[in-house]
Amino acid sequence: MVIDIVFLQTLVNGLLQGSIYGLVALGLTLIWGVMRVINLAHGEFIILGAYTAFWMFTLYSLQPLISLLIGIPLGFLIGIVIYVGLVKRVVNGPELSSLLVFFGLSMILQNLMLTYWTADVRGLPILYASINIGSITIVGDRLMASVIAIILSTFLLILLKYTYFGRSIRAVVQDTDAAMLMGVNVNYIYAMSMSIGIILTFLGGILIALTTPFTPYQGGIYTLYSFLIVVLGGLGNPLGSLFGGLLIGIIESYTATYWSSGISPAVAFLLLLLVLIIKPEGIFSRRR
Amino acid sequence: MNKAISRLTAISVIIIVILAIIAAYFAFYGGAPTTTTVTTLTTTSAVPTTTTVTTLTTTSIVYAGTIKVGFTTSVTGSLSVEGTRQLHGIQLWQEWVNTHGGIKIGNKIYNVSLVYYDDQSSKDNVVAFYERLITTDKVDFLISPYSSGLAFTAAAVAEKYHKVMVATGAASDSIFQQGYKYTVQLYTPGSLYLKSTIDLLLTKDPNAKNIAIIYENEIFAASVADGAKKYAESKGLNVVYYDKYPSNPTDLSSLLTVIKSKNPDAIIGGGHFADGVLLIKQAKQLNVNAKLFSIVVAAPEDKFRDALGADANYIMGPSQWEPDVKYTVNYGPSVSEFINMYVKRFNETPTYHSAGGFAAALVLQAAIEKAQSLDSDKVREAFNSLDLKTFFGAFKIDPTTGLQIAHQMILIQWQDGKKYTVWPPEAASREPIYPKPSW
Repeated sequence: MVIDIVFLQTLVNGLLQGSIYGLVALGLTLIWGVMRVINLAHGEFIILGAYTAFWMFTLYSLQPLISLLIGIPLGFLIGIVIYVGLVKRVVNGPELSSLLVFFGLSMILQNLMLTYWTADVRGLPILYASINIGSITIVGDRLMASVIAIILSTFLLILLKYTYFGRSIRAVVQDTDAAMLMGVNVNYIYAMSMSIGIILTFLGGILIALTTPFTPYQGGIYTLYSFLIVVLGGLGNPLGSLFGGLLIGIIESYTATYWSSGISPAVAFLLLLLVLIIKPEGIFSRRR
Repeated sequence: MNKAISRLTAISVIIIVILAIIAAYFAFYGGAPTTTTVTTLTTTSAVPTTTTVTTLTTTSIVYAGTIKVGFTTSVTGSLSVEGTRQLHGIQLWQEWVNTHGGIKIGNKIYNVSLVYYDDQSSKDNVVAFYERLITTDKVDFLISPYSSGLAFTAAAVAEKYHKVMVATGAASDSIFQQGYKYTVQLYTPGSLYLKSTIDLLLTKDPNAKNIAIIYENEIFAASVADGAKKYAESKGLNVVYYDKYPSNPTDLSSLLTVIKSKNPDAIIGGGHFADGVLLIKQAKQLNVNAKLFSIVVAAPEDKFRDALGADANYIMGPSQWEPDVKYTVNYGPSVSEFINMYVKRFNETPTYHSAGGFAAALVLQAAIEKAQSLDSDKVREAFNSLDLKTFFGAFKIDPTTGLQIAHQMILIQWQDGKKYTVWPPEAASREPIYPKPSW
């Protein structure tokens, strides 16, 4: 009986954490899929989003839900600036140059945050009370974060699937040259995907602030996990990355409960290796 | 074309000259880029010392010279905050000892000078500077840099030259498992960090049975957890949960879920700051209750309360020293004397880093006085028989390894948003609140 409650609670924990992982990876998979550049500064944008939520709450007592609304134009603006200022110049160059640009960007962002906001651990207080269903506890903050994560992901999927704009993005993901020949303004699609990618990343960061204390140093861990999830889910496959996130969340959660929390990152990355060997295009992607 | 070449040549010549100058600079200063920050404090308290000497000469005590104490400290780099506080502690001791009659050996009186370098929080610098302190500056005794990592490096150099070194700011056990003879420890080692927590638990609640130990997967936290497990089991407690979590965890809910199902009396452990905060936050969210929470590293920091607000209340954590401790001393200044001197001199409240700096030098002074000699081996021998109660707490070492065996971690508890020392009883400024109320 006790085991059953622990088992169910572990499932709940995994789903809640996994949906946040999924959202956090969406931005990376979009940018990667469309432009074939790996945003190594991904984690730093997440932390930047987390700081947005933190400062809005601390300085102006604004709830993270309102910060989400602020995050959208802010992310859009940053996305455009980065695309025009940096990515546009390297997107067609060798892969290493875009990698280095983003690496540089991650260093700059991290050190700016360290300088101006210090290395102090920041976090939001508990904002939403936990819900108890029988003996199962659903943590309020995490529930809120994963509900928003699922709404945002659904929104992106609808955008990609049912709008002309979304179809253009998918066309570019499939074949940039063909899309261009069909009259898709690739430059515009690039800029928009970059912006949407950064917005999603930013919003993911705001939700992270709701669930986990953070410092400027912690960007790296999110980049790493997002990378793992994107590879699992398949390159440029947003639905895949959502499922990838849930899968990682659940695997980590069960590993922690029935084996050891300390070993759970190793298990997650072992899965990555297996996927790369057996199904390199990702678990949730069809072979092209 | 010719013009272009000659310009190129000119630029190359300039670059070569600049490189040569830089190289010469480094060659001259022994490859140490920090020489500009080298400071030798010999004169700061020369005046007060002279007055002391004059009065004492009449009672046939003669001024015999200066004892040089050498060390590096991290004035810059990642450890600069802690390193600077430790430096302040040592500086305060120097001023204190020189204005309080110096160090007496027989009927000779010595004053003290400090020779120190900024190691920039880097191990490479530590090696180079400790070599220089011993061979060039010819210091008599050494104090370690701040942090276990740097102290470990310095200990190897001290051992090589047979120089006594007091390790402070270093709680690692492993330094003292190398067979080194010349390094002695001031801080409570990691393996004993949670001993006072378990003592408190068993004193307050003799019926306590089950404890959960969780720790970050990292060498220091692991040695803390291992020591706690051994001590708890030796006291007849059941360790119902013992597990590690990864560094920088983003979610500890599953680990807490299992702990909740085991219903332990106490949850102890931790690692760094962020995970300690996450642990308490999630324990509340998942309604994981225990009669006692003791979290290493994170809980004694003021920022812990800033991050958790009212949820920090009743949480405990071990600390080397806190300004509100109530120790009776048999050597050196009292706790309040130390704090008053420190506040007056540096205009800030001392932390355990500062206290550790002063105390390290103070026990060295005690050993020199006991040995009645400046000989490294004799002073090291004298350390073995020291049994001190200073403002920093007890000091006694294991004779063979130099490991600290008497100093106790005090235990702090957050009560009404303020931090109080609650254990051991002889140091406590308040009674512990036990059991902790449910979330």
